[in-house]
Amino acid sequence: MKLIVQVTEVRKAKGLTQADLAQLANVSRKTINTIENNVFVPSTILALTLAKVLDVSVHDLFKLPDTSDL
Amino acid sequence: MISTDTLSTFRRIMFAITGLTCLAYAGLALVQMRPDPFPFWIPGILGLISAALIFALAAAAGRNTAQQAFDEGYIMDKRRAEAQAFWVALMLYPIFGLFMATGAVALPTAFAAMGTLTGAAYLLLFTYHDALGRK
Repeated sequence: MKLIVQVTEVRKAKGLTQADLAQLANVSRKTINTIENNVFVPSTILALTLAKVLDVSVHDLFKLPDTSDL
Repeated sequence: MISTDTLSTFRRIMFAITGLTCLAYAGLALVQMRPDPFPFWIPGILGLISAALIFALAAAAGRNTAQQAFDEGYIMDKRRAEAQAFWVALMLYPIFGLFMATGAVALPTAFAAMGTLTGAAYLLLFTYHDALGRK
């Protein structure tokens, strides 16, 4: 099952660079890059941290595909 | 001020240097058919020096920068490299068993080559995974 990642859209809407977001979430820029490119699925803690620093819900950042797509 | 990227790059370079040294040791051992193509302690001492330098740079960079450089993305790369290096190390046994059974390689040479190849596999696979996704 492929996770739908919308971190890039939310980050850009907030006017942040990957480096800014990495600094806020206390991770490396590479980790943000791999999350945005769907290479790396973050832990629950990191997903919640990203949602918190971006001031959105986790569901705004990560979604499961519709069941019809499964 | 040492950045997270600087620390990650330095770590990657030190892993690559140590991994390539291990690979060179194994390659030269097999080419020269001797267990000590260059002083046997060089790969091990280089590994210790690399670890000490990475630790020193992380300490100099500060806790926050070190935490960012050794975050869960790093752990994912490390685990992936460990998993793949495990299978590489396991595959060395039948391969070198065959070499020794046919008399192509003597036990001391095989022992030296297998040991350094096992180390090289993890170090170079980590370097590869760490380098991916940095664009």
